Amino acid sequence: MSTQGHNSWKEQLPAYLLGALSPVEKIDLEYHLGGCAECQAELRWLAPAKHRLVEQVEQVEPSPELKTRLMAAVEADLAENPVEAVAEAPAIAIEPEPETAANRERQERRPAKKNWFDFGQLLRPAALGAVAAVLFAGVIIGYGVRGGGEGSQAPVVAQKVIPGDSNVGDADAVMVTSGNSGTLRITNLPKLEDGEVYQAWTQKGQEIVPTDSLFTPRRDGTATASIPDLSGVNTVMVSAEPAGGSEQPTTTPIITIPIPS
Amino acid sequence: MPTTPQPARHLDDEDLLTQVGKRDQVAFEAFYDRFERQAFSLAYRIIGERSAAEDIVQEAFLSIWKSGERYDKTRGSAGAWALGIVRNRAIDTLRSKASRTPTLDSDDDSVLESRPATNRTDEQAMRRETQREVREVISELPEKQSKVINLAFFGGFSQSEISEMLDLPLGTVKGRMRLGLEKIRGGLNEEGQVIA
Repeated sequence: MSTQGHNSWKEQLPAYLLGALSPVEKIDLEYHLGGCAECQAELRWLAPAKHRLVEQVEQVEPSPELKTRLMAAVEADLAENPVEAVAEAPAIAIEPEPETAANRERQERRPAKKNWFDFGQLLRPAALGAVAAVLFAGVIIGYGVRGGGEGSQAPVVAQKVIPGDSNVGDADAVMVTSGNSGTLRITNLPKLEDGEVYQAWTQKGQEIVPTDSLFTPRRDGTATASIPDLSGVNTVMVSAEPAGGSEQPTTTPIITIPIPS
Repeated sequence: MPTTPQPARHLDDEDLLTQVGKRDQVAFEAFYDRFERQAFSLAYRIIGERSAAEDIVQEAFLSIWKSGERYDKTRGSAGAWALGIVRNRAIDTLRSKASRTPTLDSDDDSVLESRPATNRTDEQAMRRETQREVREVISELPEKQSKVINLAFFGGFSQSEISEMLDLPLGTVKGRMRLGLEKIRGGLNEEGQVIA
């Protein structure tokens, strides 16, 4: 390749880093990069400058609800496409290499895949409410089917997402159950006083049973806590307790989640 | 009892993504926790609306959840990869919302620079010093260079669009991008840290 020809590629590297090439230019440059050690080295040298552009952005806090929505979507995805089934036969609609517009364009040129269900569309924010409504209705989802063409089917653990009630501020909670265990996800938890923790309780009939789930909220007011045994439990509660936990609630529970039998 | 699983906290970003590729929910949550502020801040810087920025971050991280196994360590850090996804989605959203053609109806630099920061937390205190140092490096760029870099990276304009909107030869735009990036890069040491 002539020096002039090579320099024309090299001139494109800053725009490539900044995402300022057209999709076609980007594909062409990436093809060149695949065989040009000099351009690869130049790109590696320049890359930290781009990272600094990201780092100099003023930091802004997202709302805690963003994480709650995201994790609920992930849990819904796991329920729909359980790990055991996916490990052997991926069934989800995996997005085409999402990192660049050029990759997306490349994907668009490929023959369309036959996806029996586009979960990516379903999980767009606007659709999450509908997903949550279905889940909150207590519909059990998540029976995966092992692939392999042998007709063998193996049920996997079903998950349910159960909404909770709160009597304090904007606190909100859901319980994600899987078999006899569950995970509490709470947002907007009030800060604790020094020497306090939150403790989860289970109620079996009229009996309130302490759990070992003692936790403090993260800086953004969110928290997760495991409830390893939900057998016979009709309600899960959370209250503020002295460090180390209590045998019986010493304050009024702020979160209550009814567990359907 | 801490609520974030300890083992995941000890993994580096790349190993976390490897676990995400195996659909490890705990690893995904830990990865998200590490980059949520940077991701949201970047999206907000580009799109300028909180709700839209949150939608972008949610979509970007869901795509990471579903495509984590596509991450290639040889092509850069996991954080840069993830933030690149956020940036590209934000630019896509910006373009689709505006359906824009290159224009100079407004002062793009002013628009890009005027988006407010809110709700800073103590956790960001260490980052702020780094950000200040980096801003100093970038603020030392001549306006002509910072303008094309801002329009490209935060505005989502291609070099050809910038050439057209600024009425500059394409070669000039390329040259300003190169000089600007080289100056930013020159202000960093080999580890990418700001040179004191």
